[in-house]
Amino acid sequence: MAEYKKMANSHPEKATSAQTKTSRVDSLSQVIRNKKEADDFMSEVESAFQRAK
Amino acid sequence: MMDILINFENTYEPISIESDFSEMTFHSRQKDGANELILVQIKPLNNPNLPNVHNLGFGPPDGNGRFRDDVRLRHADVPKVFSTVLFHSLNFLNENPKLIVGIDGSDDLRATLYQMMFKTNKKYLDDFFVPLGVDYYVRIFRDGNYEQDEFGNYIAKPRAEQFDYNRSRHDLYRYYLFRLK
Repeated sequence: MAEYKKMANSHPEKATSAQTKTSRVDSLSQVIRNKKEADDFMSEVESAFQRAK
Repeated sequence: MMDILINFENTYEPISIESDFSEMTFHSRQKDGANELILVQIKPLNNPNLPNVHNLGFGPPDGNGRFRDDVRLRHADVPKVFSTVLFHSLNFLNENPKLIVGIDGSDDLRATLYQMMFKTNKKYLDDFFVPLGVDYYVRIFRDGNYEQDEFGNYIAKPRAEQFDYNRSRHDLYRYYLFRLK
């Protein structure tokens, strides 16, 4: 990790400036319409991650 | 379609990296010999209800701080490009171990690349990541009608599952998630 950062710091060129959220409409954002749906989905995601370990 | 063999020992050197690892850039040599600047971004979704999922994407900078994913580049070393992007994702997750990285299979070509990347590199990536696949479904009511919103659009709902390595390139997930092992 430290070496990775060091590699970057040795090159001053910078291509971007905006500190924004992703500009494109992410499909997952579109199909999660409210907090309950998000909570249900994240619970499902957590269960799937646990099963996949 | 060629196999994309991931190797974190063979990546392009970063040109710039944001301190929070949300962005990095590197040069990818093209088949015509040119060096194309590639911007990798791992950003929060445009959905405040999903704060722990960050979207991964990459492409040539568009000049407005974002990247273009609508251009077809002819990378001389596609595996090295994907290895670079995934290696950056690994570093991002090491910095943010509670976060989940998401990849939107925005078109069939990209989704196929991502799906084959996870499938081909299962053994290698198993040491670093836990992947999931996400399908979108529409509810069918008892009367046979599909659930729709007030405008008549079908209401899709996501369902996540363990990444099924037996699925073919013709049975793509709609979205991909992974986090640190």
